[in-house]
Amino acid sequence: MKKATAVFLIMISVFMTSCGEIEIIELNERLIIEAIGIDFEDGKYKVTIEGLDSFTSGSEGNNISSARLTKCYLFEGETIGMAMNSISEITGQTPLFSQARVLILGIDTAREHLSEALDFFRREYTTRTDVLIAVSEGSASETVSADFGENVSAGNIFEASLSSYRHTGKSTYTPLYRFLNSMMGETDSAYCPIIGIKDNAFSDKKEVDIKGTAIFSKNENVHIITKDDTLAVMIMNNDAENGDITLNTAKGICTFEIIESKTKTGIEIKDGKAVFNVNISLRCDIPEYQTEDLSGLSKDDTEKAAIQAAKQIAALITDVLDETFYKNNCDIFDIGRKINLKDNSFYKNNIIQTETISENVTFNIKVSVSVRRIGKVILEKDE
Amino acid sequence: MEKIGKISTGQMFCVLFLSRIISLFTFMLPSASYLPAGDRIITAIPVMLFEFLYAGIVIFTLKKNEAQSILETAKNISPNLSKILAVFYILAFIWFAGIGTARFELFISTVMFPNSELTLMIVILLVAALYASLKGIEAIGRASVILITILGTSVIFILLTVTGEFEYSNLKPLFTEGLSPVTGFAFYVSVRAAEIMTLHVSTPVINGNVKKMIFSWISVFAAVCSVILLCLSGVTGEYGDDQIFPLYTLTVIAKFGIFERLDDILTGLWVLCSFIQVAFLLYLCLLSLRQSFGKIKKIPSAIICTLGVFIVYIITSDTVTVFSETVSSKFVDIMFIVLIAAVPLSVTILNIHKRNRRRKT
Repeated sequence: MKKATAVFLIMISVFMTSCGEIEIIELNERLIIEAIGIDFEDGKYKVTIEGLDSFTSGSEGNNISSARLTKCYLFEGETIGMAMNSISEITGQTPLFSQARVLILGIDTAREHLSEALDFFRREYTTRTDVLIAVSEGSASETVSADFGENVSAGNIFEASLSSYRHTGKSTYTPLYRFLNSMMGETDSAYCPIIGIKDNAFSDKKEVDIKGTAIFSKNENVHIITKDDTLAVMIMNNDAENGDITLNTAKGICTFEIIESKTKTGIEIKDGKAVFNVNISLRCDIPEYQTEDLSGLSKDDTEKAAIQAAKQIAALITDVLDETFYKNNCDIFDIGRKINLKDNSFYKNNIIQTETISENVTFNIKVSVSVRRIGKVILEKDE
Repeated sequence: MEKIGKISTGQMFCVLFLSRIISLFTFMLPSASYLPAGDRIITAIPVMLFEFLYAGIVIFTLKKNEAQSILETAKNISPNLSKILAVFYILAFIWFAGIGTARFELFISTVMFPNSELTLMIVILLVAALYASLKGIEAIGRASVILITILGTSVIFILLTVTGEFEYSNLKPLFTEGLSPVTGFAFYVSVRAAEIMTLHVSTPVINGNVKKMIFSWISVFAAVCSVILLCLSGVTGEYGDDQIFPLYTLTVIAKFGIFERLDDILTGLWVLCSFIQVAFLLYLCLLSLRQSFGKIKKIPSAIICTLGVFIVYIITSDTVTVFSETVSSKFVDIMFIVLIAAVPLSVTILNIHKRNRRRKT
């Protein structure tokens, strides 16, 4: 009886796989997508796809040797869905979006059609929700199709560059779900890296150039901040894992490499305003301190440099707050969310009703920097 | 008399837990019931309180009926009453199994095979569940113990991997619109979980302290739910609210070093949970028939019940809108309350009355 049942179940399984009810696609019939670029031009969406060229290189007994690892395609449609649907028609392959590493929007498209362009990716499970999102300095089409070299996937390179925040702190980590979460928040401004391409110094190929961070305010304006400002945002949001700052001290130029960054934010409602007490503590190394005589650093030098570094970081954060939060009413620090958690009635009456979050918030920012390693330390007191 | 297999309370705990958690994993926010985002993380607590109330009724009736099921008790009053009630309970089990299958099919067709016709896959799932139900509760119990170990490990692993993405600021204040939305939502959820209702029928096949098992199952499930929902809110925020299957979204985000695509592992396990749920409910249909009608032809009865499940699945899984409207129907609330409270309490009172009269005579 058991054997008969097993045979019956196996036969059903075989029947299931051969009857075509469940879509079965061979690997070389798949267009494995590495990068997606979205532009909106002349009333149409232009979707640029970089896909692995598995159709030519993956076929058994095929003499065609693929010159490139990936291939780019351009599709057009009134909606992104319509453009996407023409992929199979043109490539002869079924697209596999779940492998996409990056989603890049042209800056003009992001400025004018951000919500519309992202609706497809929000609604569909075809693209993974953790795909990294960025805007391109020029058109997304040019960026995605840039020539980074043979046997190189642009999507792979973009993903690696966008993940460099771990080492530099100058690029934000923005998977799609975080970006959409900010867009859906009542007060948040979504933000993501802005990337460009530039010529490689030693070949005719291209390389990625991260320009800073694009911030999308609720009134559909886009503000761009520099890479240094991005580091300030990362520190303020407790997202910085690494990064460095350069100081001009009396003794010479000094580099502080951030090893650890911790930001604690306390909120109190005082005199009708939300007061954010932000305490930032950084642990840093000093890998380089350029002096004229190659002398070591005294304890006093180190302490003075640390105080100067703390002031510089505090000033950088204050500048970013002025530029984004106070001047442009962009909340990239979860300020509205934090107020909501602290005092819901204050949030409703002073933030949501007035629609101007910046008038009701002040900041006290304290930065402390401790130096972990400096190479060689001279403990004697300076003369 | 045909021998009825029994399982331990631990095994029944696993069966109920798996059967219940698949509804959580594939849960879709109902259109008919509103819940402020902040209250989502504590929903499991009021649901637990409602379930304690239902559990109280189950334990009360068990105690008063000397550990007999409701159908066996009804048989003491009148064999015909027992048969009528069995039909209602069987229809309810078929309904819940069909809804569970439909929910699962909508999940699979949305996230895994969006371009495929999945009816055949569901047929195979139902055939497998039918086979398992014929093998008896011991087989389902043993499978559940193995599955819960694998599922528990994978859920813990996934939750640990998403903790790095947890943002405190994604949480929302509680009770911003008072207690009424969360209470209404908790009631909505509690009356759509068949598992507690199954205890009115399944207790004769459980060995051990049923009372302890029920309360520990409800408490542990509420605790697991709370942790999962807290992670979901803290990681996905408003984006999670926007997704049709929010918990699947959470598993997509989970990654640990080179271990990515953990959602594929979990969805594979969810198929097995769905299998356990349907197999258990089909088994209960057979058990109800046996308790009320005596010796039955197992295979034809099981096939008819499976066909019933398939029909419910076909009717309700046509579109997400049809499914949502069907599941949100007030009819479900009434059916659940009647079968969890009204019928068992009435039968118990009648039984006590009859027993007392017999003693007097």
